[in-house]
Amino acid sequence: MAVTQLSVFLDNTSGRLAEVTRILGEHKVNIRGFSVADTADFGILRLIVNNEEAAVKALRDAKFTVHEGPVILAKVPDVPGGLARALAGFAQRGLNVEYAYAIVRSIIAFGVEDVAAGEKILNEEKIPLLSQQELAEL
Amino acid sequence: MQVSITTDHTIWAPEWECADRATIRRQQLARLRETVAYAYAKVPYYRARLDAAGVKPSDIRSLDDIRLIPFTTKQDFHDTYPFGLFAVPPRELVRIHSSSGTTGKPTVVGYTRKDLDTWVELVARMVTQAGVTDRDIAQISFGYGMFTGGFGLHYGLERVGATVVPVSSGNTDRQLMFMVDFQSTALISTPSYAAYLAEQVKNRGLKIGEDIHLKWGLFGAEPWTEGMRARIQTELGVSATDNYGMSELCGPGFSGECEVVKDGMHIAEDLFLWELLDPRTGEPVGEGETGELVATPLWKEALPVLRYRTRDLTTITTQPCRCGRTSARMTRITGRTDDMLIIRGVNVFPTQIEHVLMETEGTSPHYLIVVTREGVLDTLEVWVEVSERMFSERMIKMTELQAQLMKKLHSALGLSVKVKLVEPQTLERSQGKAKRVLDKREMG
Repeated sequence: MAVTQLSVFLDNTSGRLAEVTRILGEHKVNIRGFSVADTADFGILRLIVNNEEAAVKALRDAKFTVHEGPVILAKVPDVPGGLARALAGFAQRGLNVEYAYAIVRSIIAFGVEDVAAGEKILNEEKIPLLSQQELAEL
Repeated sequence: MQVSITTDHTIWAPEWECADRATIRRQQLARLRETVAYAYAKVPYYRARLDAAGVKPSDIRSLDDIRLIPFTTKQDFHDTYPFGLFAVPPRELVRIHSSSGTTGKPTVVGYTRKDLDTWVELVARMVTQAGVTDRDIAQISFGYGMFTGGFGLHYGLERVGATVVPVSSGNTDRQLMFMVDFQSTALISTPSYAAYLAEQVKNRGLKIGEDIHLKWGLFGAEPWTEGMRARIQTELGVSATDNYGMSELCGPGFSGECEVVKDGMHIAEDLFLWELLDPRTGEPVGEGETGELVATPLWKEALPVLRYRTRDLTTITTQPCRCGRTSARMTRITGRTDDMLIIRGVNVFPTQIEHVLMETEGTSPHYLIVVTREGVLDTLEVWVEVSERMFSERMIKMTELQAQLMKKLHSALGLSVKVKLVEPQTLERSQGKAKRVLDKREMG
């Protein structure tokens, strides 16, 4: 069920993020969500895209360091307390959320230490998940 | 601004420092013959070397015959680590020092009691020609420990009767407190640290002549310039001299400037035979030309070294100096024939850094060593390209990798290093593929 997230290593200098988005645009890859974690020197760009194979190839061809890994995409209810319910579910069962970010249409991408466990928790919480296929059709 | 002018300068060993050149050459030949015979008899490594070259100690009949002997390089120290070049068993050593090797293992050197005594005499000559006497309070801001600089200067200064303050490196607040409270008159440090102290003296509003009583500055262990000398002399009120040595030859004491003239570093020629060679052909260069210094100590019991290739470029003159000394004088080191860097007095080889990256990552990523001078202090950065192997989407893993590399490089080099993780191709974009070192320090 989990979908593929692309992580890209970036120098923390001006224009690098712009360069990634330019390349993806040129290759007709649609970015559906992203987040950036950074230090003074470098950043990690996390991307959810509609066509991860095309994106990985384009970025690698441009010599970016790219990592592919699973994240859970969840349709968190767009109501007060909606996100809280999901996070409480993880907390109560002791699963560490390493990062989380919203993508289009209040869909949240969760990076957790154990993806299968995280999916089980969200199923129990009745929070719908998105598959790679559904992501592509968003 | 007060700049001291010496009125009474003494010469520690005038019988050698002012000897006529024929006397020096006779002494050198006698000692060279002994040294080669000794190394051949006592060090199997040298015996094999000389045998392979078809040279017997008895073949050394003139000073020029030294050219029959193969060179010794840092690689020889590495290949025989730790004691394979030693002529005496470890129990006859009374001291061991070491310096950076080109990879994981350092270069190890050792001294018998007699060696230490000769070394101390060499340093006594050097500090005397730099102006220091038994009336001086000498603050040693070289690091103590395995580095030959601290202990080398320490015992030489004690021998001339100076009051030694072994404050060692770092802790500038304490350095300045002692300098003011003890009224130190001589500072022994790297030139870059002296420049840093000068800046701190100014920032703190300390007055030359009232708070700071320095007269002499003995600066060595790294390259510096006439511009730096002028600045340090003015700002600290010292007469600043350069000196030169390296642990493979014994440590400080090979050569040093006289305070009176400051026109080249006087080589202790009765105890060292020097050659100046074209680094490519190994042939001697002409008078006044630049060449690689190759040196043979003529006195060592524990660790005889024949024709050590220093990789340092200099020029040498045998014209007598106006100070009264007749010894040959070498100019400042103007460059290296290898890629060794000297940072805050510490020798750094790119291969050492490569070794650490290799150990940590299992493969050597592309890297670039960037040396900059922030204010007056040199800083070392290593830029490492992040390959997909090294990359994790988890920030904590990346910051841990960065911290781990810094820690390992610090322990391998004995120097704090900043590690910067960069995108692949950053280095190619900025430097071109082969370049591993970017030295941004102004040396001109």
